[in-house]
Amino acid sequence: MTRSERIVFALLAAYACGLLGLHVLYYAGLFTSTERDPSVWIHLTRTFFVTSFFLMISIQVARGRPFSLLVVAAASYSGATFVEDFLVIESSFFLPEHPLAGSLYALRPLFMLMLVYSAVLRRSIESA
Amino acid sequence: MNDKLSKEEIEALAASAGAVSLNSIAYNLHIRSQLARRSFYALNLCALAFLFVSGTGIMEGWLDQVNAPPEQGVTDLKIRTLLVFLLFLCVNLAMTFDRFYIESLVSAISIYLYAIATRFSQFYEYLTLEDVWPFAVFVLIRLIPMTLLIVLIREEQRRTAPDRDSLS
Repeated sequence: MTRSERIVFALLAAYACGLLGLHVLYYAGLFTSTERDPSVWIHLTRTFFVTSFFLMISIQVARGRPFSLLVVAAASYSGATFVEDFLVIESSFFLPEHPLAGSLYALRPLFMLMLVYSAVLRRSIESA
Repeated sequence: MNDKLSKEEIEALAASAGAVSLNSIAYNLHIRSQLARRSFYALNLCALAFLFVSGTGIMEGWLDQVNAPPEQGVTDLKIRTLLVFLLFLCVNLAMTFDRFYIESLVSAISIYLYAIATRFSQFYEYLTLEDVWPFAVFVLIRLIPMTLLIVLIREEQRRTAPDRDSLS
């Protein structure tokens, strides 16, 4: 991995950890918007997808194996959930007033940009 | 020797060059395996069937047989139709220009997996024994495009494997 890739990867990992932390707080029953919460199963699905992508990419990085397609898949998934959140079930998962949730929501476009950048860079390196 | 081509020769050259245009679905399908070709056609058929059916009330009618609230916490049908249309467009354009084809397929499978996971999760809380057969049909219908996507990705990786091996 190049230096810029390492920096982007560290930032993405930090964001993913923050997101998973938010999910843990949700399961612990803290700052959930129960009156707006659509389903606990959708929450579980999202936790499962974020954890799976994070683990699979980290394992491939650690093994030194190609992982560009996984980053592409993660970027697409991120885009689909973004569309879903903002067009259909906006702010239905967490109370956006909470500092952690608020900052993660505010940083989400930046996170998606970094993910797309990482996918394009890694794909061009691996297919070159 | 006269190096200028006659009008007939220029027309013949243009016609033969047109027949092997690299930016055509026909050519890019031709260079792939028969399995990939058939899967590609089948995937297009599935997408077109979904786009056609989503405009009618057939899907919601079928869902009424399963004891689940269709609108709760699940992506709206219009958004799903939009996503399917975009992915359909992406995969076909990628095949036409032979660029970002595997990336389009991977994006499609990622979003599709998420969509069916959330769709199925909606039912877990409400399913009863009487809903088993409509739900099984519902699952089977969703597994067909996923299988086709997996086959297409495998075939594409197999096709590009010699290039990767020769570079490493």
